[in-house]
Amino acid sequence: MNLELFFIAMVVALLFLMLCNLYRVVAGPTVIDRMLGMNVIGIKTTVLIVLIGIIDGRVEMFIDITLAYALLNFITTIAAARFYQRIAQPAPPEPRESLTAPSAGPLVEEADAAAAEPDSEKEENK
Amino acid sequence: MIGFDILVILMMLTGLSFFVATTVGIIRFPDFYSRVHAAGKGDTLSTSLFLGGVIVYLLRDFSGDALLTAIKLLLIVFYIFIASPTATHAIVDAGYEFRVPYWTRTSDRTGKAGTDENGENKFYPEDLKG
Amino acid sequence: MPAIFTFFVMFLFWTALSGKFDGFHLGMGIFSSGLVAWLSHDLLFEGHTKKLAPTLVEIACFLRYLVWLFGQIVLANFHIAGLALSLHPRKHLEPHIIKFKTSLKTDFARFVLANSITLTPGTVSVRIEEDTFYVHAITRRSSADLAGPGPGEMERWVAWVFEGGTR
Repeated sequence: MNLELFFIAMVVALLFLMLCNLYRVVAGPTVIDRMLGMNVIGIKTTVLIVLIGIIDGRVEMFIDITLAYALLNFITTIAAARFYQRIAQPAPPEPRESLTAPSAGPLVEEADAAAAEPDSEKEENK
Repeated sequence: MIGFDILVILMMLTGLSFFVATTVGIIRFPDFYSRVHAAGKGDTLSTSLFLGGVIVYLLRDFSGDALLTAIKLLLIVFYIFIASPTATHAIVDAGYEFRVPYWTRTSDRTGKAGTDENGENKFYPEDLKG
Repeated sequence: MPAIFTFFVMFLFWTALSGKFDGFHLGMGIFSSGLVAWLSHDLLFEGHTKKLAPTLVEIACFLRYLVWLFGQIVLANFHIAGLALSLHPRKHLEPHIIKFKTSLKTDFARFVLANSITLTPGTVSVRIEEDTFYVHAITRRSSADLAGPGPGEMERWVAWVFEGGTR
């Protein structure tokens, strides 16, 4: 039995899933969300390269590319995460408006606003 | 021989379904921290299932080259088991430092993120350094 | 002693990657892994003071631990898939952060514990300050093991592997 058609179907399915993940990269409300989406796409790409190697009949060559890509994906994620962590380091009392979602107001005011709200969950427990 | 093929197909379909669950979770979950849960857990297992399927497929007709490639694939699986949680941890640490707004059930009603049901901000502990 | 361990690990890695077993390639491998082992022998096994036999026991315990961890990973995947594919995921979510102190001493044991927390159902380790862990849990039930008094089940496993505790 030849599995080549099955592998091609897997490649197409993976490409479709990567396209779905691209939604999070494009629409993600914060920078960190986009980074997460790119990390997930990168992990799927490692699988994709191996499958393409099998279809092509030269796994021995593609496996080295996969190893290098997995290393590169990890290092990219770590570097970007450290970079944005260093940007956020001199933390102002309120979140940075330009980079976070618009719903992120100052934390103290939110606490006051939500304290006035009645609590539905406790009522359910009663 | 046909048993190997069925094993390969089963492993890859299981991995693909976990990938689908991960993707749906990343799209549907309400805030960044829940999305991290979906990404960090789903990818590790489904990647190793896919690569395990490839290993079984390669060892179906046994040879020295196939064994070497299988060992390299095992190295990649081992590497992903170490690297994927670490990358997840780095991302969520950066997001925590970044004060990414988080979701609670009250924030759906009020439209504001950031407090628990008692109106206290327990999400960022006071004695957290840095 | 750490240099010899490092050399063997590097040389195994070299042979797996090159795949050629003639004299030239093996010689190159011995030369370069010897160079790496000489330059950075204190990186891979930093703070590791055990002799050979306890190290082998530790590796065997670690493999036993990995079997348990793999079961937890499968559970975690089903948990997260059930949450993601449920009709109203917002009804089941209840995100919160818990904080606990660990009794593990070495850095490597803490690294293993943090990665295991990330891979088990419903929890992601957010930050580690010395011996304090900040863990994000997605539902109330998933943080019950970690938030309880005393070390949880996973911490007892890790302590059993690396520091000779009882599990």
